[in-house]
Amino acid sequence: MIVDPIFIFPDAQEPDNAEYGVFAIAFEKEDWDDMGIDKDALEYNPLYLGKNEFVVFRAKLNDPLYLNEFYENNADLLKTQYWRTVSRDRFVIDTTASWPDYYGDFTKACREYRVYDLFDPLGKGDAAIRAQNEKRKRPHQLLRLKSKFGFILDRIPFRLYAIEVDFDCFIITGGAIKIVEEMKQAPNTKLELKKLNTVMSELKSAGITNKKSLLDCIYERSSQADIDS
Amino acid sequence: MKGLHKQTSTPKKDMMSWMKEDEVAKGRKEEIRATTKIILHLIDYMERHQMSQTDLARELGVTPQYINKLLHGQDKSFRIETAIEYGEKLGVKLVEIPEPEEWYDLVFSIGFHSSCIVRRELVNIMDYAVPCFKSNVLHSNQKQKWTQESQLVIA
Repeated sequence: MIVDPIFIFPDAQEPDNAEYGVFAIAFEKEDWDDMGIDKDALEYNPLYLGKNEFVVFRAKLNDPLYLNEFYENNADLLKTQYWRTVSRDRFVIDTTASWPDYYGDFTKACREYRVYDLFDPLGKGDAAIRAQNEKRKRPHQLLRLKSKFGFILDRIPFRLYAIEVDFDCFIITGGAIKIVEEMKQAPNTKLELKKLNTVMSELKSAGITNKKSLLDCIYERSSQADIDS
Repeated sequence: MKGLHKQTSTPKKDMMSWMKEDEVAKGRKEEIRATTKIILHLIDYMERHQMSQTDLARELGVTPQYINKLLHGQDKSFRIETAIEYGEKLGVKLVEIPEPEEWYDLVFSIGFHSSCIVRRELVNIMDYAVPCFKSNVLHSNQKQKWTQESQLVIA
């Protein structure tokens, strides 16, 4: 699993010295194999394989062919009262128009060192963290996060998922169009949950607890691999 | 390679190019909506005629690679005049601009089944949406009647 730098400050050319860093995971073929993903699934598509999850999610939200197929595959969930049987055209067009605004908010948050504000802890979590989060004072720790954005009709269905490693360091693990209330109810969000948990356990098993340990792990391990090869 | 590691060669050039694209995209949301609608028309056309991307490429006189790029929303320089040209080649209208009469039909059909307040709102929307509405002699009486009715209700 590759940890790809997305927004690095102060110097994008030196991610190993990042003072503030947003990274994204690029899953490799063997990661998908380990997660038990179907070989015909989109994850193995050469268009997306090996690219980081921020780039993949961006590409999907701008891809009418993918969105058309997504609508058809999830028609039974979208042609419901909750979604007011949203039409295919409305679904696809609203989706492609949603990304530019979020991208603007995201880059602005990166530049202002407040990516923290875009994300909330995933799920109901424990009450103490929820209360602290409401005051924007949640503790900086390995925490699974979600960021909501965009509109289809009056719903806010787009999610970017990340792990907060430190107050100044985030790792994006994926993104999805959330069309059901519980993540486990739809295949795409169920996969996002799996990706979050896989990355989280990888971080824990590597002993990563903050930005420094993450940067040490990624760059020192890579240097060692370069020497070995 | 197992575990966490860095990209051996970071595609910085790719990243810079999509960042620039997204910066530009913020100012052209309506264009994105229009282009998406046109691509959906093309997808529907392919499904109706049971065509592959290669078949469509042949009919339009372009490469299959280009059609793939277009349908996946990756041709950021796609223009309306190209869509009109493609529509002519396929014998379909890929770009549709609603006629003012269609707007009137819509407003009339809603107006007859709505309250005066809704009608007044529709008149306001029409004044913004279709500038020629005000000067349209055929419908000016109807508009005046609706406005008067609405004022009575509000009063």
